[in-house]
Amino acid sequence: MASYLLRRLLVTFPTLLGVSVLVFLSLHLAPGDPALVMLGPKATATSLEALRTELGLDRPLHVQYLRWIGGVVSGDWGRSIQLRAGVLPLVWERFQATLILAVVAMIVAVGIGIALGVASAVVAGSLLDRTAITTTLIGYSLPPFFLGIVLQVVLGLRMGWFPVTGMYPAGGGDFGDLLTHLVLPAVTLAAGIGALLARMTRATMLEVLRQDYVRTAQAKGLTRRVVVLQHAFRNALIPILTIVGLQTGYVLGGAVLVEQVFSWPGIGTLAINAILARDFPLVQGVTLMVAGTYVFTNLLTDVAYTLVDPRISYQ
Amino acid sequence: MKQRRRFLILLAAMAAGAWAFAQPGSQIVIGLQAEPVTLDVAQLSDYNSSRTAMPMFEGLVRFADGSTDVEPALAERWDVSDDGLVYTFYLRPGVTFHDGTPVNAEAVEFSFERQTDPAHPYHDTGTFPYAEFTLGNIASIEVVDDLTVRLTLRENFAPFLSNLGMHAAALVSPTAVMASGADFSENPVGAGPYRFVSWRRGVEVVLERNPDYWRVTPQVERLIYRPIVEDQARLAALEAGEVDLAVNLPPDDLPRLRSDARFTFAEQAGMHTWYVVFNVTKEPFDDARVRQAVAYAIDRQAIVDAVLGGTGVLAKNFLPPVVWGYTEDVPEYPYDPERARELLAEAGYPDGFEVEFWVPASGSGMQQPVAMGTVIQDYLSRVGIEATIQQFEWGTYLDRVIVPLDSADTVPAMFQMSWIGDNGDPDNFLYILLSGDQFPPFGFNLGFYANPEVDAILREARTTSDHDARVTLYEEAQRLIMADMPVVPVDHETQIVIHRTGIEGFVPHPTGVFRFEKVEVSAP
Amino acid sequence: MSAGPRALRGAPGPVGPSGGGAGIPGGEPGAPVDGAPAPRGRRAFWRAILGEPVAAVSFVILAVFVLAALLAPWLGLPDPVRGSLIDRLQPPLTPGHLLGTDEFGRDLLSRVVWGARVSLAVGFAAVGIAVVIGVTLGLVSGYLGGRFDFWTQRVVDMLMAFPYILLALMIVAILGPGLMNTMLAISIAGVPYYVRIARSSALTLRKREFVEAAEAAGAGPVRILLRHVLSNSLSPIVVAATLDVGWMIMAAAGMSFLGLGAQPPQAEWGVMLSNGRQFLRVAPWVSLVPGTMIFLVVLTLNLLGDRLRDLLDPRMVGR
Repeated sequence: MASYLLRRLLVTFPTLLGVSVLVFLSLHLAPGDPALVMLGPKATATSLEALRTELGLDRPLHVQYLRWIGGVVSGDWGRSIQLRAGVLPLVWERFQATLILAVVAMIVAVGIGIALGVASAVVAGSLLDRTAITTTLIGYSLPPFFLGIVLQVVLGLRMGWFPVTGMYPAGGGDFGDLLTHLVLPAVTLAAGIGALLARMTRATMLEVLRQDYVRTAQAKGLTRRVVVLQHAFRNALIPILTIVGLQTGYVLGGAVLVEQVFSWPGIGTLAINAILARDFPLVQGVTLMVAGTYVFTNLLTDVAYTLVDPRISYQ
Repeated sequence: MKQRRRFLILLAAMAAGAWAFAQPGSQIVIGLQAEPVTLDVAQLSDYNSSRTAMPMFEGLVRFADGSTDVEPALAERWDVSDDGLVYTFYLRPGVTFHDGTPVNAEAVEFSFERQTDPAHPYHDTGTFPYAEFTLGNIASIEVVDDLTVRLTLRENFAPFLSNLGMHAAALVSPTAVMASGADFSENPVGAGPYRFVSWRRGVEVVLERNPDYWRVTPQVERLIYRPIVEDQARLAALEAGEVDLAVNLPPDDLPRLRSDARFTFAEQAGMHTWYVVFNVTKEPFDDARVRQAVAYAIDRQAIVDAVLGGTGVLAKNFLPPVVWGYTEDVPEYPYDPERARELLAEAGYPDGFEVEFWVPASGSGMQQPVAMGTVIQDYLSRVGIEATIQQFEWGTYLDRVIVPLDSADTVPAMFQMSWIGDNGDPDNFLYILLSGDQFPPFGFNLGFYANPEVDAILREARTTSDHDARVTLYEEAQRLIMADMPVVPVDHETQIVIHRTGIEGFVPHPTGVFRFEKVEVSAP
Repeated sequence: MSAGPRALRGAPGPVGPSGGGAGIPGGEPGAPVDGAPAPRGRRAFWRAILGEPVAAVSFVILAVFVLAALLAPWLGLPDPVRGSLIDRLQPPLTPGHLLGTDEFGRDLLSRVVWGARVSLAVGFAAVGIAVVIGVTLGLVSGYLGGRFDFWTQRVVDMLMAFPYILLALMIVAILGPGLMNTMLAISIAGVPYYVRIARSSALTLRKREFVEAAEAAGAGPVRILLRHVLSNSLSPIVVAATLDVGWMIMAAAGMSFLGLGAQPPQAEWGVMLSNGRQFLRVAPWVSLVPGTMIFLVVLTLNLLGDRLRDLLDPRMVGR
């Protein structure tokens, strides 16, 4: 187990390294001179030359990459052109907000999705099942930005039940404030993933329920509850975990849109502004942070497998 | 007595612990359009930054409430030499910056030279977009004594005193700049009615009142600025009570808010012009007839009524009516597509032409740029001019349209721009925006319009001291400009600030900054 | 950003500790078409799809959208990019404007129909590009194996380390905003997904008798890939692609929503929804109409995709 984890961890590094190369190249693949992009058309030849030297753009590409990655490792992620501040503090502060939103949305999605999927599979073909299927299909087909807008107006403004923007009341607030501010964005973000999870769970459960050992267990006279939860669900868990792990990436991505709708001070709003302003150091920082998280989550998912099903580690 | 009461308030606040909610009536939450870029008063160039930063700073003089008349501020009084070249300012004694250091003549010298002198040891603590415009005419600064400073100008310049009321002429604490360096923009220290508390990126900027402010003791204890980029989200936040005061709400929602007793409107005719710039160095807009045709082709009144929902007034002239020297005795351009087609035919474009039209996604003073651009595009297509809209983010946009003459071919034939007056002087519109001396990077004549006759008048007007003579000169300039039509002025925006009823005494300032030192609030 | 989660239904995903191949139940690559109980013949196939009422209704709705989009210029609709400011923000059922008008007085029905042209075209084209590139790389990679396979998979690993939308955003950052660039970005971001599907198919099929027989008979690799491997991997690819079209439409609309996609005055559903937001309180239909259209198309595509999967890949239990 330990050696598997170690091996898995070792495999992560090349991926991260590759990711960093891609992120780095994104700046250098962009049409035009990065220095010109930074200075704009007002640039003079001298200021361009000075900036190129300052940024090390006159060096060979691999030297530039090593310098940048060296900076990244030692905590110097460069300076945002537009916001005139260090990239790492900017990204880190916003990232925490996104993480809170993503984790809560994921918990909501997993909880509701799996419960609905299991329940639906158990009563397959019934009215409840069909209602659940329809609901999840709708949830899955609704563009999240559209759902967010509707929730904001109906539940936030018409009903006045939840705050509609931001993460805390102005001036800061406590944990309770955070929770109420989380409701609408988290539900918006969770809807699609929850629906997908419900569908996957249902399909997997149906598959498992058809297996011989489940039939055997039922034949042995175990209660349906025990059969479903202890035998079937346990075995359905691995594919479900897979989906959960994969969707984490989409939660992080989907957060961008939801943040925009609810003015959530996360990394998404930061990313959009950085891209629109062609603030490349910041774009690099944001993408690196998110991709790193994604790789790390995949690692966690794999570890979770080994816990659920020890056989996997021997592959 | 006053001291003691302050002490009691402090005690009470400490006792309350979580004072954010202990006294909800003593704070105002402001919904900004975007995150401030900098809080360094010398580096400001956008509304979101200046609205947040300006309450922390003050200069030698300032604009009076609700007007651009100059009144004493950190300088009690001043003398001007007969030739208009030497200004001597006498500072108010006993005033300190928020860090406790004194406001003195050296601070004036430091604040100005930091911006204008490339050899100044703290010149590298920022970029100063308004330095040249505001302070460029100062030849020398002389510290006479601790509280007396003498400024000598290069040439007689009529609007100089008005310039000193602008943000770039506000005083910063030299001690704080030396301590923070480039990070001064995140740790601003001035001598204004409010002082800096915290800035959480993307979340909020918090200011608290300066109990030692010399003019009054501000009533509202805290100001919290929250960036809410989406107009609808800002509106939602205002309606949900999450912000107390907001600007730039969707025009179509205003009638509904107006009839809602929970909200109060504070309005101010704008020192603002929204216009379409022609790149006159390129075909087809090198021909005045084509430019006039565009003016005739666009139903500007309909844009003001429908798209802007009456949040602006039709621009009959480039200069806004609130600026002195304004005249309506200029060539008029009513909506007349027939006339537009005739002019196009005369100019050799009977079938119209295709043209690129740049539009920012948003931007300070740009109102509804995409919607307005789309309508203009539509009107133009009706006379055969097919405009292709290209959208940019504001920062990128400015970078691309503010270019020197030798890069004029990179600027499209048509693009949108707006100007918000800085000091209430006609020079601040006509000379900077339309004089042949003011091509970028020196000024903001972005379309490279140059008419020698206009240039001569504008130059004479800015060095003439006699007010009536200046009025006559500017009236003549306006007539010539509107005949040449180097830009199509569309509207002058009315500043509409909507706040919670219960906030008393908020008066929008023509320059667009917010002032809170005389504002009082009652519980929501 | 855009859009919801991307399903991995009917296709093996990049799952499992080995980073690929572990597959979810029933996600094994499609069996040879001959071996599957899929109905034979085109007519039988269609009859099977449309035999189910939900799928039939979905098909009809989708067909209406596609037809309307194709025939837009001949439907006698008002100009989609020109309106009269006097008629702005008219509610639905206003005479002459069945679905009402937008903030410029442009007819919403017309804009929705013309928008369908853009949104559907972008959705299908983006999937098409992703499928062609991804499947080619995946088949070759799986069939050849060796060093080519190794490096292709490492690149795919890296691309997959980016959340889909972030990857699309990065590509737009490089190419610049705009509808074409957005379409390219979302299709490039979709490529790794198809590489994985096609590769797993090729890996399994490579060992099958009929492929080995063809090799023994002296068939060249291109012929084997096209005739034997590709034709037998089609089912999972077709299912995945169908489900993906809706997703791509949503992604493109999301990019436009953020101002990175289509530019005014073009009628595109994402842009319409985004602009309509400004009038949500006074004229909700301006955003509800395009929002509903996106929803309907994605929903019908999902329903059809599900039905297709049930038919082509029956071991993946769907609905």
